[in-house]
Amino acid sequence: MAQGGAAVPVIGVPVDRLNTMLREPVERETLLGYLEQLGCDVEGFATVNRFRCQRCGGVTEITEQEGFPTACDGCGADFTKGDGTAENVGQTEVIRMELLPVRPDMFDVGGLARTLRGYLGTEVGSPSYNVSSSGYSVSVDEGLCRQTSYRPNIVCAVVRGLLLDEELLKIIMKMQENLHWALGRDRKKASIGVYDLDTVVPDFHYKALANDEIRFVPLGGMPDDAQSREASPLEILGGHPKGTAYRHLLADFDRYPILMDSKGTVLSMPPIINSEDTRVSDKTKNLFIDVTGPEAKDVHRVLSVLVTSLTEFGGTIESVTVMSPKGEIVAPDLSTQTMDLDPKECQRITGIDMTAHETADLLRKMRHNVLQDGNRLRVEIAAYRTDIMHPVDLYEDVAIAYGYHNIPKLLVPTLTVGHGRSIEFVSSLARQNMIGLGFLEVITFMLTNPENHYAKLRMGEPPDYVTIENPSSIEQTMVRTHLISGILETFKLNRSQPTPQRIFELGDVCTLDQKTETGARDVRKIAAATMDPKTGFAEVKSVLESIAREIGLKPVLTSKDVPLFIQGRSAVLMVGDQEVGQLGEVHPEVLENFDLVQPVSLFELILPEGTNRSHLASL
Amino acid sequence: MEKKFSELDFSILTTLSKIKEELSINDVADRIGMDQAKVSAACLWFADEGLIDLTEEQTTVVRIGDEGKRLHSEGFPERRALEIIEKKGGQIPFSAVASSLSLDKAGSGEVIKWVLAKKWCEKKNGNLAITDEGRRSLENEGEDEKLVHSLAAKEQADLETLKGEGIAVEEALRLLKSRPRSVKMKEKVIRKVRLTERGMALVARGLEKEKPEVTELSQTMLTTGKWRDVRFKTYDITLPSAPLYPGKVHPLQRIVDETRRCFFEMGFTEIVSPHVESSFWDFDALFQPQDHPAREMQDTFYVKCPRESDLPDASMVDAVKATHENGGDTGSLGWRYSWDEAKARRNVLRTHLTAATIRHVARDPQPPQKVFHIGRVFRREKITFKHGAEFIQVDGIIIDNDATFATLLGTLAEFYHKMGFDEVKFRPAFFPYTEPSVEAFVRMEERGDWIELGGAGVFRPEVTVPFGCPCPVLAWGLGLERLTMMRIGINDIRELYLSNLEWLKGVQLCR
Repeated sequence: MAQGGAAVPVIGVPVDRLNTMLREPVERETLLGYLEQLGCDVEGFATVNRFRCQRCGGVTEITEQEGFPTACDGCGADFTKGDGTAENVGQTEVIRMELLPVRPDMFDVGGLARTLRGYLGTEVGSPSYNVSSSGYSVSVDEGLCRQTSYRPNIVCAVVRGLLLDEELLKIIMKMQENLHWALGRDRKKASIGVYDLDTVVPDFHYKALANDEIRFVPLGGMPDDAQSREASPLEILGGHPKGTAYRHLLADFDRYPILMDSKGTVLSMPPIINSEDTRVSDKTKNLFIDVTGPEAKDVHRVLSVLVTSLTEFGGTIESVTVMSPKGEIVAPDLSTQTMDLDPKECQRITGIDMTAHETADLLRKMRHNVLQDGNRLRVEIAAYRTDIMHPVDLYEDVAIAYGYHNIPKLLVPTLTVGHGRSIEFVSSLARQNMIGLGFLEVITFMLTNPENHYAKLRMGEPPDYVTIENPSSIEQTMVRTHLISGILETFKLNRSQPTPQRIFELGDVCTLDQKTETGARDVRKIAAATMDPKTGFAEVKSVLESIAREIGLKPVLTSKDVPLFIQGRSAVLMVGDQEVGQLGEVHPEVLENFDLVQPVSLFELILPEGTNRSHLASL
Repeated sequence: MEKKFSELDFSILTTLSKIKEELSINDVADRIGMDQAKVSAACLWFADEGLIDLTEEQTTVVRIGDEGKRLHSEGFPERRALEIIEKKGGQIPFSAVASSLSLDKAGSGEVIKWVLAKKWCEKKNGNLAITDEGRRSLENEGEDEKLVHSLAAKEQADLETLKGEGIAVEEALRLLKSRPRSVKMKEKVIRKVRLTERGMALVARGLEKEKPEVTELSQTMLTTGKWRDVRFKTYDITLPSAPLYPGKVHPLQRIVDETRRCFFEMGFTEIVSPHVESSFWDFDALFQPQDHPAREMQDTFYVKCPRESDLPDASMVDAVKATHENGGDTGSLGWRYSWDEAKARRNVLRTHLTAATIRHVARDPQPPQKVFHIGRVFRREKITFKHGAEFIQVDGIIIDNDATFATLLGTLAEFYHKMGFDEVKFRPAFFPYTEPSVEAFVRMEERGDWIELGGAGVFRPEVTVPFGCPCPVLAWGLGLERLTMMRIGINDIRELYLSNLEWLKGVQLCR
């Protein structure tokens, strides 16, 4: 079980605003408890300072301990280089918590309050959204469907009546940033632009323009110049902080996506940067919003989440018509999704004993509308719940509303009998044998590199072995095929410690095998070694023979010169015509390669799969 | 008195019984060849017991000093002078004393003083001439010389002994008095012992000798039975001993073994899956869309060789494809994109062991079953104290008609209790392939904090239905490094894989 993916951003939820939005006061610690029960990873309370960038008016928020911000969150201006200055515009107490990537509707204090009001029972069922028409439209240029200027989908909305103070300005910026991260995949799948509606003249045009066809002042201005200088798309991509950060998204473009109004005023160059002319400030009353991206479903999703959250701050939503070569659509589309839920099935999965009626109530607490139709529940899911794909997602909502801490902790009543694997049984015998001989077990990495794994051991590099396409370091470019380099590296790490040193490793290596499904096969091996002035072939032979005897192997020792060992002091182990191991005194050149100054004798052996007592499982 | 006597005590008593007269403790020690201090201690003890009469005599002991030793080895200077004057014809001029005797002025003055005082020479017409007394003395040592030579051999002696040697001790001491550090006199108590009647009677009855003491028990003693005739030296058991460490299983492996035992005890069967795994089993079969961030090159190791896997039966592949694209038969909306078979073939180093459990579901979907897998997984991370590029995980699943989210929580609680954590709590979580999902936290008393220790959930129908599994499947997994590090109290994950042998030896088995 693993989540994977990059580190999750942390947000600060303003405590006072949250409490106001909850409509009834909640004890501080209790609030943290509720957030946790909803699945939030809460760090705790903190105080943050807000700084307004004097270039772009954007607000940057950092915790008291961090001091002063180094760069503007909005336009990317570098405050440390004197690119611009920032002014402290206030302080807020926040709850710091990790984003819940699967619930973008809970990324901001508005959405979070909406969920919490349901959980607390203050306001249940799905919120209803009135979307009137703004009467505005956006026309989409055909050029945006071309391969070298591809970003064909745009949806827009108007939000009126917000009281934009510094805090709310920051909340909207953060929301934008986090939606870019979670749903936008860092602006690749969707990017958002937010503008002061009163600085533009509708209607709008979304065009693909060549570099020499357009110039505008990017948000915050070009860093090297007077703030008012107009720049071409290529100048912005090459010089503006946001341009250099996101230009890879337009790498193969010869025409650039530009959103402009009826007068030709540029709103933005998606997915890079807005224009200075249309920037939002604390004087802004009405917002114009666009979301662009390669896939229609993604841009709709992002717009729904964003505008529904904005209504929590008192905004009213108006739709904008998009006229594209594919046809006409009206966005945002906040219609609900309907899904049927069988309470019996819900109970079968969750194990929570409850009636259909109780199930419906819990769903309402999770802000769904529910119509009960006999034994079936018809669930209406708000547009911002983009995570619900299957009734099981609703079962989880039911379980969360019920509270994980209230769910009975049961065991399945079915008896099953456990069995082990014979290779683990043999491994356990081998391990006991080595421990009994006073050897210490070591565990080393399976990832290594050919230099360490073959060249340093005087081994010829095999034609093929398991290699990594995208190694994260030159140290680890392949999967080991033997255990010997790990053993010698361990000696190297311990070369200043007293001898004798006796160690072994027991583990899997990978070999290529075209007969298998994946083309590779795992082999269980054991290797053991002694580093001591008095060690030699006789010792390692005794050790190897002891382990072979104890695990029931009858190998035949055949003299063979192996370059890893001193000539005439090595042998291989044969079982039938199969070579299953090797032993000897390590060649001085190999010792030198590992900076060792005392003799080492070692063996390696493939552990056999079969044993007549595999039914015992492993010990 | 049934006491057994040590070698020493036995010798003292027997010797005294034979001599029958008073002996000094020195004498006794000489006769039996033992250390005087030990003999003295034994005699005092016997005296207390009434076996020995002990008398003390005050005596004067003469002890030789550094100057005395020099006089002994170099000879008295006045004697050397006497012999030289004799050789020179019985007299020499005063003015030539120093040169004749090879002495400086002070030295010659000293010699002249002594030959005159001892009346070996006299002043005669500006010469120093030997007297008759002097001539006699050429053949005979003076008393002072005798005393010094006698003492040189024995360091010290009492007056009686010296007189017994025929030395006129008073005369000798008078002469040596003006030679500083030549001899020194000291008052001393001499203890003399003899057996009392009781002592006599005891010896007469026969003494039983205590067995001799030995340090080692030898093979000869055992084969000859001699061990019966000896006593073993007793030891000071508080002395430090050399530290000794057994061969040890690696602490991480100990946790692996412990985990395996927990699963067996709970009725689970162990399964296995390959380290090189297809994207199909690592991601697609688990309903992770092909553009999921976890699948990016940045997070997952893609395998260059062998590059691709064979896919399972077309029916399985088609079912998974349909599920991704539109939900297929699973009742899901699906991810609504075009699923690419080529991406599913791409080999990766497995990123989690859920690849193993979903393989098992596909192979054998019929309930009831409980299986688990412990093994290594890989993430494309830089190696730091907190993360490695590879680590050990365990994943378990339950395929059962009566499996529910409630039984998942119960099983997890039981599992963590078995692993030694009394308090477990649960928080909603998100995994792409389970719903409902949960993260388990255990209480670490030492840290006074809750530690996240694994994720779990009920496999989504999008995961199980394509493989024909008719019932809920509970799944959970956790990394074992963190647990190991908590147990043995280390903060750097690299210590587990880059072994310091001295450290490894020292990690207690009970941790």
